[in-house]
Amino acid sequence: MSENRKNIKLKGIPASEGIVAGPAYVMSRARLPIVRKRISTRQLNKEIKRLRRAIERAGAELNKVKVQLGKQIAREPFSIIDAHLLLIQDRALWAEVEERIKEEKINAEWALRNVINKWLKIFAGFKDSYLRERGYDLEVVGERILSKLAGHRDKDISSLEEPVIVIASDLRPDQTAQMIFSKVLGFATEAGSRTSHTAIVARSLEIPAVVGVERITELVEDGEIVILDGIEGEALINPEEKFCGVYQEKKAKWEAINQLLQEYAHPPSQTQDGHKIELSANLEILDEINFLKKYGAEGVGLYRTEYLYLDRERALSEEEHFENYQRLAEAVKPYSAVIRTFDLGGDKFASEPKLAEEMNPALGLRAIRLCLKSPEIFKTQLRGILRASAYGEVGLLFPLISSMEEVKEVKRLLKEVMGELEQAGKKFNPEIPIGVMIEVPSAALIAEQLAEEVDFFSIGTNDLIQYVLAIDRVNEYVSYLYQPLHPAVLKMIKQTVDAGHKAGIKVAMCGEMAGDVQLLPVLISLGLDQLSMPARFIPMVRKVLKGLNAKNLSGLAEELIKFSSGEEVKRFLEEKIEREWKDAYQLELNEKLIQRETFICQKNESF
Amino acid sequence: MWRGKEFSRKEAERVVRINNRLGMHARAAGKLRNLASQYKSQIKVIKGKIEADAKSILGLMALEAHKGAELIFRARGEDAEQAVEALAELVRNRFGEDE
Repeated sequence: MSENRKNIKLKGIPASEGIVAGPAYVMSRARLPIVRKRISTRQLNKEIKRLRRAIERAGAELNKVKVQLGKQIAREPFSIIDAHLLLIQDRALWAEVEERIKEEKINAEWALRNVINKWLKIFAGFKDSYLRERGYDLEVVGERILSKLAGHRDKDISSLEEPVIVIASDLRPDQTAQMIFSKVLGFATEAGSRTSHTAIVARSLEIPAVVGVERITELVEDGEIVILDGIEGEALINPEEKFCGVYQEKKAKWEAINQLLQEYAHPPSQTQDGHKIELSANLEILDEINFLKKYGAEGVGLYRTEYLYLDRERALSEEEHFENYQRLAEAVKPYSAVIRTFDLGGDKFASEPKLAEEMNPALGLRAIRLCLKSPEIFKTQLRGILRASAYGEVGLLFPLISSMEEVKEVKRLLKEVMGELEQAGKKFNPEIPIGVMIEVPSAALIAEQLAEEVDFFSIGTNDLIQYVLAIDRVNEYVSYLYQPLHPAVLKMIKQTVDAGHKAGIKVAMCGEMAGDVQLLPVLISLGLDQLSMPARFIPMVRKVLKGLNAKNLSGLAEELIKFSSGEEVKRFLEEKIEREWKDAYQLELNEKLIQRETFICQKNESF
Repeated sequence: MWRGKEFSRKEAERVVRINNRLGMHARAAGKLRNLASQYKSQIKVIKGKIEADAKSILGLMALEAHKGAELIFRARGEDAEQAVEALAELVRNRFGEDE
C-alpha cells in the first residue's frame, strides 16, 4: 500500500451517533461489466438452465431476507422486498430472456441486460412517477440475477462472517434494517441526508452512520480499515496508528459521557426548585419505542406518521393504521402518546393524480391542507388513531394549522368519523385530546382564539422559524439567517404559551429547539409545559434542567424579547452559561469511567 | 391441421373498468398475475392500443391502467371462459382493496 493511500479523511453528514473501526465491505452499485458471447446451438439449453438456476437462487435469497426481516422488524420495509419477489416470479419476463438467448444465440447475461433495458425504457416513459420508480426495482432485481450468473460472492449483509463497516453508494431501508441481525458495525453512504429513511432506520437501530460522503465507494477497497465517526460525520480510511489512538480516546469519552448520563435516564424532570417540565420523545418510526425506557422519556410528544406513507406502494388501510397506533398506545403506558396526522405534500402520494409542480412547496398544498382536500385518506388515518385511543392515552395533533376554519373543519370530520365508528360498533375514546401545531405565524397570532377550540398546543419550531423569518434553511446562501433566538421568534413562542396558559391548556414544543440544551434556560423561562425531542437527548436535557432554578429564570424571556438581534441573544446566553449556569452544564468525566478498548486498526490479512 | 386445432379451442372476452382508487399498482398487478397463472389459457389484457400478457406483472404495470381505465380480457384455451370471468371479478372487486 503506498503512503498516499494512508489517512484519507472524508467528510459527510453525521446520520447516527457512535464511533467504530473495522474492515470495509464495499457494496458498489457500479454495474457489472457484461460482454456479449456467442453460444453454439448445442450449448443453448445449457445456457438457459444457467439462467433459470440464477433466477431461482436470487429468488431463494430474497425469500430468506423476507423471512428474517419478518422476525426482526415491524412491517415497514416489506413492500420493497415484496415488489422484488413479484418481479422474480414473472415467468413471462424470463421467457422473453430465454427466447432472446435462443433466437440470437447469445449468453444469458447479454440477453438479460437487453431485455431489462428494453423494459426500463418503457418504464422511463411513464407519466405516473410511482410507476416510473418501479423501474428501479426491476434494475435491482436484474443486478441480483446478474451477480448470481457471475457466481459472485454474496453481497448480502445478512450473511457476513466478520464484523465490517459497510460502504455503499446508497442503501435501501430494507438493507439497513437487515443490519440489526448482522455483523455490521456501521455504514457510510454516498447518498442520503439526515432525514432520509435509511438514516432514520440507522438511528433507530443505533448503528453509527455517516451519509452524503462523496465518492467513498471509489476511494475504499474491500478489507481496508475504516474509522467511522458518526458524531462528527467523518470516515478515515487506512488510518495510521496515531490517528487510531485519537479516535479510540474520543470513542471512550463519548461512551463515558453516555454512561454518566444514564443516571439521568429516569423521570421526574424538574428544576432545582421543583418546577416540572415533561420531557417526551419524538418518534419517526415505531421501532423507536424501545428507546423510551432506555432514556426515560415521559411518553411520546410527537409521533410523525409521515414515514408510514413513504417507501410504500400503497396507502395503509384503516386496520394497518390501527394496529400500528395500538402498539404505540400500549407500549407508551403509563404515559401518553401524541399522534400527528400526516404532514406530507401531494408529491408523496405517487399513486394519486399528479398535482401541479409547486413554486413554493413549503407554502403549498401539504399537511392539513392536503388532508382537507383528500378527506378519504385523512379519515382512514383518523379512524385508525381513534380506535387505538381505546387502548391507551392517545392525543391527536394536526399539522400546519393556519386558520380557525381549518380547526373547525377538522373537528367536523372527526365527529363524522366518530359517528361512523359508533355505528360500526368500534371502541374509541370520545374525549380524545385534540391539539394543533403552532408553526404558522398566523396561528401563533390567533393563539388565544385557537386555545378555545383545542386541548393543547404543540409549537413546531423548525417551520415556525422558517415562516417567521422567511428563511429556507436548506438554501446555503440564506441559512445563516436561520436564528432560533431571533427576538421575533421568541416573541411568537411567548405569545403562544401565554395564550395557552390563559385558556388553561398545555403548551408543548416539538421542534429542534426543544432538544437543544443551550436553549433550555430560555424554554424554562418561556413557560413551556412539555419538551419533545429525539429520545437520546433526554438524559442530557434532564441533567441540565435539574441544575437550573426556575425562579431565577422567570424574567429571562421577557428580557430577551427586547433585544434587537438573534446574535445578541445568543452571545448573552453563552456568557450566562459560562458565568452563572456552569454547574448545570458541567459533566464530571472521571478517568475511571473512560474505558479504552483497542480498535481493529490493522488490516487483517486473512480478510 | 394447425387451423383445426386453433378452432377447437375456446375463446372468451370480458370488458371491465378499473374502479379502485390506486389503479393497477404493483400489488394489484401481482394479484391479477397470480390469478391468471392458475388458468391454462393464454390471456391477454388490452387497454386501448396496448396489449399485455396477463401472466406478466411487468406487462400489466406497463398498461398504466389508472382508475377509470377500460380493460379487455381476451383468453384462448380450454378454460378461457372461467379465466376471463375470474379476472373481471377481481377488477370489479377493486382487487380486494377498501377503496
